[in-house]
Amino acid sequence: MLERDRLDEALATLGALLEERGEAIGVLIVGGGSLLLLGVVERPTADVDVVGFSTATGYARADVLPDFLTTAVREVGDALGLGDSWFNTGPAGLAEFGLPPGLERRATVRTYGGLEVHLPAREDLVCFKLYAAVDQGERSKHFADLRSLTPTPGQLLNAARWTRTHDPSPAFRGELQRILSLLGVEVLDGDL
Amino acid sequence: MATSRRRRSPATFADQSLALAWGAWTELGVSGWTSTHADWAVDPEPLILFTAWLGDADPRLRDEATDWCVQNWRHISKARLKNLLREQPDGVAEAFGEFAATVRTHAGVSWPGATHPRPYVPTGRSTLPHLDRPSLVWLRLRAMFGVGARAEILRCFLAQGARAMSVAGLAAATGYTKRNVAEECDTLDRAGVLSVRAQGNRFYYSLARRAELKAFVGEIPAILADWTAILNITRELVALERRSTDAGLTTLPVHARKTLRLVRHDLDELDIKAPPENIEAVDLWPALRRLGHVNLGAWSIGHWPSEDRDEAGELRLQRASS
Repeated sequence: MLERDRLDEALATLGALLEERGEAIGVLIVGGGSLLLLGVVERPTADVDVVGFSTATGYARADVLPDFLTTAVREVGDALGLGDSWFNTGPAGLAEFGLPPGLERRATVRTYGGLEVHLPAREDLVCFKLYAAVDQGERSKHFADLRSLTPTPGQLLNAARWTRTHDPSPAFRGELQRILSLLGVEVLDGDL
Repeated sequence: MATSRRRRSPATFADQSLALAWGAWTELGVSGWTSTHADWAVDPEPLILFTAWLGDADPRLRDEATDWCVQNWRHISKARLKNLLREQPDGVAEAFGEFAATVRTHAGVSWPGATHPRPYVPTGRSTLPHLDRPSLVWLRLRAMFGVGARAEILRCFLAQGARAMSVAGLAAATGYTKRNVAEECDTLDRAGVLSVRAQGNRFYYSLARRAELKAFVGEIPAILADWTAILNITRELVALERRSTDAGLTTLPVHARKTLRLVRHDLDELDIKAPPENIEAVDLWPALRRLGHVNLGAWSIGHWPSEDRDEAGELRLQRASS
């Protein structure tokens, strides 16, 4: 597991290695890694979830890491005892139906040598975490993370509307309403 | 004139590597200051490749080694240089290309991988000492049995004890092709020098008359080191040390881990215990530095790190050189 200092060390090593090799890339990360780096949670994370690659116009969906990055990730994992998959494209499908509009303008960028790490703003993290919490329930770490983000009712409503673009099914809407209710936000079908 | 005295090993891997190379070349007859490796059987081809790689780290060593090669190339195996070169990283091949081209310019000999010569004037200071010097036992073998796989096969058996070896094992240890080794083993078997036993579809050879061969060959020094393994480890430690001073320290654990993986086989060959697998991050470089200072530090002054002598006074940790 990666605590904040170890995660920072791993990203710094990866970025320095890329810079040493004349490579550069910007990645949008979500999940526990982004919450940890932003100081929203203290809970160590198992890995860093890359959802997109930075481009001139926003983010391109990250299905697989480019070879130069895969090699560097493996080498850093080997040296620091993190394994091969500490930095992966696990939830890249999240971007399949579109990221929250304007996310790229709100993101915080941290530079580690040749690696730019783009961290979503709090309101965008609320979107991702609400979607995951609806999928995995109130006992999941995602629900706990969502609470840690202390979202406002307005942020939750916006997030709820974004999650509906990913799953418009009635079953999802029902579960979404239940989760929002647990967070103190009551919504009608028409609100979503 | 070389003199013998107890020395303290230099502080850095770079200096230790130069001391090791100078010690070996001095035994071969290069004009050096001190005799540190009189107890070591020197294996010239890995030493030539390594010295080429050292290059500008000590221009005098490079030039004197070149001088020795210009004068004594007849004692060097082209085939072995070629085969050993295949196992070396690109940097060695590149450096050796220039070294080989320089030797070609002044000696007319065609060594593998020669590229473009460097400006060089032979110093004429190198000699080839009489081959009865213990450290020159492997050159003595070549003088007796010819420069080729035959001498190297016998070198392996003299260096590694009574263990029987397959053709594949001998090929790896000698730096000759399996076909070449198989032919020479067959010839030596017919001559009664080797004996053979079949196990499955493999043939295992051993010395048939070890005592007679040793008596014929003459004095063999105490340390019969695997120079390929020693110089591979040395090269990688020097390269990592350079990186630790030239580049930022952030990526040093990555390079230290790669170094450890690169030299693991060579450490095994020399029975040197590698740092445990669970050492990671900032602990990797200190672990490698300790390993280097214990081993390379000892090699640089002509000592073996674990001089565990048996009753016959021979070192137990000696391995076949390749």
